Amino acid sequence: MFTLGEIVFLSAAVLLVGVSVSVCIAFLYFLMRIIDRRIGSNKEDGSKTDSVEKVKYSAKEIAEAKMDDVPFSTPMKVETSFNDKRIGKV
Amino acid sequence: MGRTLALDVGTGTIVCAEKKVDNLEYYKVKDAFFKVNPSSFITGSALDFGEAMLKKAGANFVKIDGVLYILGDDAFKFATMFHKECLRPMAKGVLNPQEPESVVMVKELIRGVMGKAVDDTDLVYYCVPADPIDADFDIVYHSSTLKNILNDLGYKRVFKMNEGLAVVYSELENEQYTGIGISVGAGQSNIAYSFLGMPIFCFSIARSGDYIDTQVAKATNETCNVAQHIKESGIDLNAPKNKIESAISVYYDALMEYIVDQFRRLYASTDTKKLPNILDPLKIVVSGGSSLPKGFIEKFESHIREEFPVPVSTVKLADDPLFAVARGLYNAAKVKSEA
Repeated sequence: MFTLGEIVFLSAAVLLVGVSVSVCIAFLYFLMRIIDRRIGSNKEDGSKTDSVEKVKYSAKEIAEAKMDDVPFSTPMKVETSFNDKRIGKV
Repeated sequence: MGRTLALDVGTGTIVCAEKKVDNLEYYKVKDAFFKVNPSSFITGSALDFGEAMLKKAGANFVKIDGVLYILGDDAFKFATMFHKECLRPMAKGVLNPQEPESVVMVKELIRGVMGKAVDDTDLVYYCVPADPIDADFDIVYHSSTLKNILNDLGYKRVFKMNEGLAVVYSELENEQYTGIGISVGAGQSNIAYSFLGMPIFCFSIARSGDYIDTQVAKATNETCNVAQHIKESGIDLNAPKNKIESAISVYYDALMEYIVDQFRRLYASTDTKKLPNILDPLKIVVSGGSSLPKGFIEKFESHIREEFPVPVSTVKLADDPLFAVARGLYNAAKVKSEA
């Protein structure tokens, strides 16, 4: 039979191990989330960049997407060297 | 009255045709771009210097959110300078989903060769490949993206036409547009069997110039660029001078055999009621950058002679192989604009 002291000691040990495992799992979970956000972000709000989003599109998804959903179709600052001049005259 | 334009968007080149006074004028640019990587090249104020340098050199480029992309023919020069490969917005005849920037690049290249619409009556015919019979993709995304690009550039009257059929419209006027048009480009080969201007069937295969380059590179342990360079530098397919030229000749044979074989299969599987009764032998016209090597037509004729399901009178190279598709599109656009 266990003495009272042993029971208290074993209970404390089990509790300690349980808490430690929970803390480890929580830590790893948050670490994974932080890594995920950092890799996929170059924006201050942590949102993913277009380039990271793009790799998730399969050819089939792109083929089925509407024009508004197509990556890189969002408004951006575009300047060209030729402006309205036509190029490549043969 | 607005302008009438034709646009041939190919894997290797983008061509625009427009009539000026009495002549059909062509604008041509390589369908390629090169991203100037700021981390390995220039940053900050040096980027402005680089931009000024590119302007001074007369290079065509586009700056998107501060990143420089060199476009068209100049992209090859700069890629070589930095020991890099050029990026191509299209692969196997359609917009390349693997290159995320492809839509923007193609839009800028098209804007370069066509300019923006002058008014609402401007009319454009652009070409699309037929659905490939040997690859698992369709042309829906490619086709609607090009239409959207043209709409964005202000063109309201936009029509598409099959690439192989455009070859027929360009070269077979004297034959009442009856015959077979073949466009052997960089990414795809497009074939159209036409009777009085109506397509009996059109199909494309995902093998063409790029296929030859890749296979030759593998067989000879060279790069695709080297294979492509030799292929485009005046090779005679019937008299190869070295190992690489021999490999090019072998793979041209393989490509031609494949085209003829696929035509034969499709013809055999088509309902005979849908096939016209051909009394006179037909002409076959071949166009496209990959049909330029010397001896191409002789080789192709030799493949046609072996069991071809349709009687053939001659196999000829288009008058201007690089611009035949654009010319055919222009002919179709002209008919539409006069209607």
